[in-house]
Amino acid sequence: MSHSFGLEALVFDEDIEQGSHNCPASLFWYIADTLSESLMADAVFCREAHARALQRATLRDLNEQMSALRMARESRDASLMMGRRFAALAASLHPDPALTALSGIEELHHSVAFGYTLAVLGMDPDSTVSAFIHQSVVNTISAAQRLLPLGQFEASRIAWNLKPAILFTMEQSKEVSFRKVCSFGHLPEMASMRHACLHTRLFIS
Amino acid sequence: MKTCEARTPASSRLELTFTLERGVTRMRAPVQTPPWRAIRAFPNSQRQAVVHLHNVSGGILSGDALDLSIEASPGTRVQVTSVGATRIYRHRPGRSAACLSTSIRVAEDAMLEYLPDVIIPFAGSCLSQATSIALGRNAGFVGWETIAAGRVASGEEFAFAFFRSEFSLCCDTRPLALERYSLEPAPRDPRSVARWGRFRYTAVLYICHTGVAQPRWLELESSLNQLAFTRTSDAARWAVSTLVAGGLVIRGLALEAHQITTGLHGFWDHAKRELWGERAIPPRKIN
Repeated sequence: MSHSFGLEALVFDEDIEQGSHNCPASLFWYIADTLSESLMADAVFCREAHARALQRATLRDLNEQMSALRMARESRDASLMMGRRFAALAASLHPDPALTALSGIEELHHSVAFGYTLAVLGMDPDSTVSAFIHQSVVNTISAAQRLLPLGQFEASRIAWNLKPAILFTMEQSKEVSFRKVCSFGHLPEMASMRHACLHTRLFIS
Repeated sequence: MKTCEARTPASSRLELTFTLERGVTRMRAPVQTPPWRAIRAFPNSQRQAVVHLHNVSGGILSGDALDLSIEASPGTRVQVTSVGATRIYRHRPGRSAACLSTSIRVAEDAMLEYLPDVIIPFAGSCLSQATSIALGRNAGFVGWETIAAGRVASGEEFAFAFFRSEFSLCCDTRPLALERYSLEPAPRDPRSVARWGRFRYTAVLYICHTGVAQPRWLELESSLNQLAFTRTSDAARWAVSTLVAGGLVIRGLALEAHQITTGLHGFWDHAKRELWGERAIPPRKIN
């Protein structure tokens, strides 16, 4: 099982259109708008973690802030689970004291782990943030393929058409501090909260 | 356009302090400048000091900078509410955006309920609000906020210029809940599925007690989510989640204001009975 970060509940509640004709556009606009809300916040935290890695600075306040911003428990737990797994995998593949230390952090969010790890591996911040957002978008589309009548061709088209928006979010993430980044997503956040109560679930979150 | 950070000192400030005197919570208002007014506090059957916040100008105008500070000293029991909806009036050119700053401190063993009425941002209005809540050890806090899409009864929805909000809820130095958003309907449609969806009202309710362990919150999340599912319909949606520690958050979206009011009271009452063994007493309105 993998994570949908509330998409499964949004589909259940029919907030995302379910018809094969309408669902690609509905999904596209949902992800495009998410890029200026919750994914923007993730991008800013990823960039900040990248900078902290180069400064060898602590990540504690970053992770605490992310835990407080992600109010939906399932979504918060999913981010923490993915962060810890990503750090453990990176430490096992690339022995480095900084990555070993990272993998020992209990409260570690995915965006933070990703930014920090790629900085240690020598990736530049723009590529790191772009890669993180791209991966998040592709994961959402992949989840949608299991929930909606969305074929591979349409899925690829959505991912392709979102690339300018991904790059725009990456650029915007340079302009704002992690202490100030804004994100409004009450409906998807509530979907994530409601997900635990769905009778049938394909996804962990 | 100026925001809260860019402004000179606040043009209006209300400070309320609550202390425990011989088992009774007493209110003092050492600073009280118009348009804020808090006339007096009166006790309810749960020995809470109940106080109504008045804004004698009838709403928040562009250029207003309203600063509210509430301090609940150790052991006090407080309920703060408003006398009616908070109307955010149309922005006037040349004026700075309206600013509303609220700081609440709940000391050790104190319990505070902050239950204001709905915020209605009128067409063309600009508001920046900042709310910070600091909880001491074994402190309780219940607080809600409801925002309308506009003057819904007049068919006005999402016609405000911007509505910016920063919210923090902390215990010691640990943030328990943070929310920062900027709603600007012109460039970013709030009706997106990624934001409000098709609803006209959004509400949030925090139930916190820093002396309660996380497993208890998970139990309460489960029972409140069952309530949320029964209260959810095409016209209203509810959801509940534990915070990272010390509490839980309940969110609601609805087409009509009464659905929000009824829902909030239901969740508040359920949680209060479970955690404090008391029913929720809706604030009595005065005019």
